[in-house]
Amino acid sequence: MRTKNEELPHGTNASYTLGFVLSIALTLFAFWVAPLFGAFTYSVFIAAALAQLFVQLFFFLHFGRGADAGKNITIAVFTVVIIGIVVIGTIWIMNNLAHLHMMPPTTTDLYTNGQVAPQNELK
Amino acid sequence: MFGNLTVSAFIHGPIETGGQLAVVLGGLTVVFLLTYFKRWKWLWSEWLTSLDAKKIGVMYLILAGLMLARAAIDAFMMRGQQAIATSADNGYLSPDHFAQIFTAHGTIMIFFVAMTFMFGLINCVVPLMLGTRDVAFPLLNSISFWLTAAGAMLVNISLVIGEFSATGWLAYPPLSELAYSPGVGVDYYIWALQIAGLGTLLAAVNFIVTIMKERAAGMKLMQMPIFVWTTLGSMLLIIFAFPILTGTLGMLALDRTLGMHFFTTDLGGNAMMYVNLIWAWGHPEVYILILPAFGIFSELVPVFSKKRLFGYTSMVVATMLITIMSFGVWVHHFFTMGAGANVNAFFGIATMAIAIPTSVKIFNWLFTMFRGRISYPTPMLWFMGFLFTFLVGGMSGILMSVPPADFQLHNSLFLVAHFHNMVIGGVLFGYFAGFAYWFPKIFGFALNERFGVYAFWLWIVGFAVAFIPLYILGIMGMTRRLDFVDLASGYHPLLVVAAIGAVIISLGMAMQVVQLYVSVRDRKKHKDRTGDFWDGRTLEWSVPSPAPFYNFATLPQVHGRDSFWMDKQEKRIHHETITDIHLPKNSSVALFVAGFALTAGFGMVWHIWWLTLVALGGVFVTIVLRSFVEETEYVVSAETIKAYEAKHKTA
Amino acid sequence: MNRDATKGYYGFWVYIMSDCVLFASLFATYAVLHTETFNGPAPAQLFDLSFVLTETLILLTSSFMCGIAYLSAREGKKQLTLYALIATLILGLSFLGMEVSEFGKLVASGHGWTVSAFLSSYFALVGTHGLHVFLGSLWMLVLIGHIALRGITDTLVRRLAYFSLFWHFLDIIWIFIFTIVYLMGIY
Repeated sequence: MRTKNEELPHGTNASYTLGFVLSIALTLFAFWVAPLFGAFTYSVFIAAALAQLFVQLFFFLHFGRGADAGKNITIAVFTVVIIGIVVIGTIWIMNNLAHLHMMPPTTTDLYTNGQVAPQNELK
Repeated sequence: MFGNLTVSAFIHGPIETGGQLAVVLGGLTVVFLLTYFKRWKWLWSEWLTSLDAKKIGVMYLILAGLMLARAAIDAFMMRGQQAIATSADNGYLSPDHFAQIFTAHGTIMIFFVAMTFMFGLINCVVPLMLGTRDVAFPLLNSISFWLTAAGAMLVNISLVIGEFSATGWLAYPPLSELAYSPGVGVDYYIWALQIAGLGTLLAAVNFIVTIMKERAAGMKLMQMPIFVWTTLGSMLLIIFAFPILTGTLGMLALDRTLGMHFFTTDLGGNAMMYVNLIWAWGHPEVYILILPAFGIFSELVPVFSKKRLFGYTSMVVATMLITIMSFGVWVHHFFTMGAGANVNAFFGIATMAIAIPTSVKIFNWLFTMFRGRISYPTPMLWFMGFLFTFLVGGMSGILMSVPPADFQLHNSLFLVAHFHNMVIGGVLFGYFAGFAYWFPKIFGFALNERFGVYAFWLWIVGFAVAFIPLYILGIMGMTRRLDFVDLASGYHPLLVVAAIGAVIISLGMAMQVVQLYVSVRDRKKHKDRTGDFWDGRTLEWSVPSPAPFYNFATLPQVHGRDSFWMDKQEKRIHHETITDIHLPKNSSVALFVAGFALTAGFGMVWHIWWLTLVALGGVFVTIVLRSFVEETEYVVSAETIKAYEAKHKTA
Repeated sequence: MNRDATKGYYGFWVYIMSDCVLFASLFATYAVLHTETFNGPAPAQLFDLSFVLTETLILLTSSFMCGIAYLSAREGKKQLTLYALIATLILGLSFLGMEVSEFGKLVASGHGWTVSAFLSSYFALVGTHGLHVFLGSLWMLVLIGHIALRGITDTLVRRLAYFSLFWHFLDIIWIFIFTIVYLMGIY
């Protein structure tokens, strides 16, 4: 039994082109249109990024197709969960340290507050 | 030309020189013996270039044994120093040397004993348990082993050339930054772990694919042996956790080598970010180690109770719960770092919660034993030892999971006793049990029982005598990693007791060496003639011992859990036709990749940049050359298999 | 022994998942350290949005070309595969060239990675992505060599599938970099 390349997920010229066009559109939207949303700009950034993520996942990475689609999806979901825990957990923990001032002020704070002179900067 | 490397790197104090000589003379002895007995070709083609997972597994086991000896000597030196020294002047180890010793002890034990022992057993057993011929990617398997060996080599080279890290096994900044550790020690540490870590990650990919895609026909996920489930959990943890280690050590390397400021004390660096990240890896790491040990117990308890495992489904659920929850508790390693009550409370509760699935496992083993026909050969003794010691260790962990209690006990000897309790009582006893259990399968003859029993009792008594004093000392207030304590502290009597415990453990290790010698000496008298040494339940016992190089003459058809046991009960005989098979050819690619990686790492340590670049180029060239090789397999004819089967017939 | 193509594809996917976690740790570090500018310039003063947009479009196009290369290979079209793959490589190297020049400008104007934790985390995150692009480019060179010397084989198609996974995943990481580092840095 040699390679079974037919079972590998793949797209078509049409699907790659569609994915490409959508990605460009979402990119231009993020760079040119999103900043106009004022207070909601960051949310729009995230939404555009997530939308492009899914476009690329489906049109370029063929997520959900191919012989092992179920296994790929499962481990991808696990990965997202773990990344969420680690990144959000880290931000929560480090923020907790900083904002409760249980962490000594960083040298940036000291510098800003005029307590540390510039000559401390290393080359 | 040679970066920072000078002749002075080779010159050390008397004790280090002793270690140097041991390493160098040991290496030379091996070289001499191989030359004298003309075994180089045999070593090369039978072992070093083999892509057979069983051979790779044995090499992992040998590496683990050697590193266990090295790190145990470190431990004995520490116990001796603390027992003797009553002031700054009357120990035999300088503070810096003592620091290097406790760093080397921890680093080697975790990365080059525990991980290596684990992969050794997994390689020897899992493909057989799954009813397949090898892992999914045999060449990658070889690369993983040799990268691990390269990392181990780099740590041992530091004994001879230069120095090792003196920062503790996790290399916290600011101490591990260039300003406070200007020598090469931390760099040796970083690059040894980066190289070995890559090997580990690739091995995890390999086993995940093997388990998910290479099982025998008919073996559904919920019919796999529990050892395979725990291996899967452990491998998933490696995929998710080890990249964090790679990133964090990489950032430390960037700080030290390129002058960046991730964790420095100035220009905005945040040393606590390191602690946070390293434990986000570090906690899953300990579950990576313990899960396969749990799996081993799930295999041998049913066999030695002559009873089906109680609660298979709940075991699987517990395994997966432990896998996921192990990512939610890491702050308990730094409750005292200064996070607020919310953070500490959340992680404290999460830490208590993770004890629940572990308890489910323990109850399942007990219920398996209940009303079974129990026998106590050595593997089962190790399990009983685990049962009592791990419980105590787990409870001391629950105690520390309460943040206010941890504020008293953090970084005391209580903590040291707790984690040694878990690692020795849990991980090491588990792997010793697995080694004793699968030894006949791997090597084809029995392990001597009598010396096994002696070894067990010496280990468990030694463990108790060495570590119960440490629990008490921790509560009395003694901090960890002290190279001496004043006589007035009152700690010395217990430290002396602990040192005696270390001696008892060393006797246990000696018994294990004797056991191996006697077993090898008597191997012809105690051959495993049936392949089914313990009247086992899973597929590895259905082939002769040692397993044929092709594992199975015909790949098995599986009908349910404990398929082999069912076949035996129903006296089912399989009559499939034997056909030609393809097996991977030997390959030296892994040796070259690892050799170049080792060289590149050495160059990074000593800032010999041209050497690193050339070596990395060597890795690239090796892989490219390999990519052009078309004939990577060879054919084993049906006749060869039939002849082998006839010669090694199982009874 | 099974030599099933899907085995390698799944394995490579698992590896990609681990690489995602590596980038996650770098993103987490950036999230924590990006305010530590040591009173230096904020991202808004350092980054040029149209430059980044150009980089992004180049990388996107190279991703598209990679898809064309893979499809052509599946259909056995050697010339088209070669051209598409070379186009992917050229675009990838252009992206790298732009990034190196951006890094060079920052260093030359006194905003190198030794200056503050913010800059360290910026250079490490974006630089690691660039390193991956570099390694992918090396990989492409080898693939091009294979096609030129051996033509389109089953093995080559398999390896192109793995490469496509890698190259597209780099594009996905870049989405998060330009959103979190550049867009959110400037606005």
